[in-house]
Amino acid sequence: MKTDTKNYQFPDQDWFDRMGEIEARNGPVGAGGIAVRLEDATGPTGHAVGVFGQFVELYRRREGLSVEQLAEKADIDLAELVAIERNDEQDPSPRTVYQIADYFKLPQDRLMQVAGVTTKKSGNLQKAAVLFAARSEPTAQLTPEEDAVLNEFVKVLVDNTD
Amino acid sequence: MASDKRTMTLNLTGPEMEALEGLASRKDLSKTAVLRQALRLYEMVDQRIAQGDKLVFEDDKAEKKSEVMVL
Amino acid sequence: MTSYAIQIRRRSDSDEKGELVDAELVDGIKPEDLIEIESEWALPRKAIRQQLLDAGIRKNDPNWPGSLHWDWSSQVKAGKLQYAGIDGWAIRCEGRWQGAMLYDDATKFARVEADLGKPLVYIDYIESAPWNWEVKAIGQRGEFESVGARLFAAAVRHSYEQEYHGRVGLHSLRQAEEIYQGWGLDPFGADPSYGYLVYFELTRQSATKWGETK
Repeated sequence: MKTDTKNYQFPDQDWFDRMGEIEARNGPVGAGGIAVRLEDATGPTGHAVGVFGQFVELYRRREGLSVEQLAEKADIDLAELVAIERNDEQDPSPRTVYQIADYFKLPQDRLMQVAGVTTKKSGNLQKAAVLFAARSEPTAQLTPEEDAVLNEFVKVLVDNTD
Repeated sequence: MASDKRTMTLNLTGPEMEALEGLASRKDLSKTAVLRQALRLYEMVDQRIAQGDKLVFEDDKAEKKSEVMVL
Repeated sequence: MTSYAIQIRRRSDSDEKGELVDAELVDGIKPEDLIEIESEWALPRKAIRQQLLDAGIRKNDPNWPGSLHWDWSSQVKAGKLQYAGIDGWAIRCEGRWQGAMLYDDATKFARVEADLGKPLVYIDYIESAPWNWEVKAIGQRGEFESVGARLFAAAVRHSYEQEYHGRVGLHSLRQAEEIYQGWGLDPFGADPSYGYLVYFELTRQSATKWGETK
């Protein structure tokens, strides 16, 4: 059943005006982007800084800690922690990543990879980081989605097989 | 991009032609469209595998994974 | 690469419709184009980002544009355009790239019951230039309208050309969900395998409103 595409007609201007109005009224058009997020290179290793910041924020909130409390307990610089969570152009210092991994009892080298401090490629970790780059609301409690996504990510983080 | 087309004659075995006709029917495409899509799919898979990615069949129930193509 | 002459509408402040401006719909963008697109959009992105931060709005806030951090030139690194099944369209107007879209017509299939498993055109990425966005939080009103709609129509047309009967699929950024709903696509709920973005599909039936074969 062939479609004769030589005679395909785009809709008329009136249609585009109407669809354009729906587009204008409802926020900028956009689709896709999870992979682009991962390629959002601001660290020296070209790795996505955004994932690490989001991870730290969610993990901290799940532990019921404020930013100040985590900075104090993990013995890290408060200003740096704020910048990390905000995903500003930040290359987290290896020491900070180390302290966070140590405090949260997470595998050092895996967290270093996520933070972009080291470059070793890990297929599963990359994939998990992609799944992890989910939207999250800036409220105190984790939504069930955030919780599920965080769990999945931590599972891969601590998983020893690649 | 869509405009320039070349023509080719294709020789298929009986089973291959049946497979092609079956796909055309299930996917609701002409045989030409099936082959064109198949070609694009094959090319992408081939290139990605060459770059180090893996194409895998995953069996959730049996918790098994089997690789589809190896160089 | 083919070009089609189209028109896009300039947004108007008054009740009158804005003027129609001649534009070019480019079919088949190249890696150089992606780099050029991002070279035009990078500074406007940065400016919007700074204004949002100054207004006290953080990433992940509902008012933060979901594609703000995008970088089309990174798709060149990812080698996306090297596959025959991935291609793109873009719109050029007044000497600037106004919108871009990358699609995959080889590896994605319909989820809607009636056409389950049949191929469709999947939109990998679609975006309008940062100056076209309405960003209420910083008082920015967009310049050109319906850029997204024009690109989407191109995807539908391509779907017809591949004999996919107008079927199109995509994962919506959160801010744009109402758009796709309004355009007649069917929502399939948050997709856990895609960062919980909502998957939308334009079915064969709904596609007829987006263009006809006469």
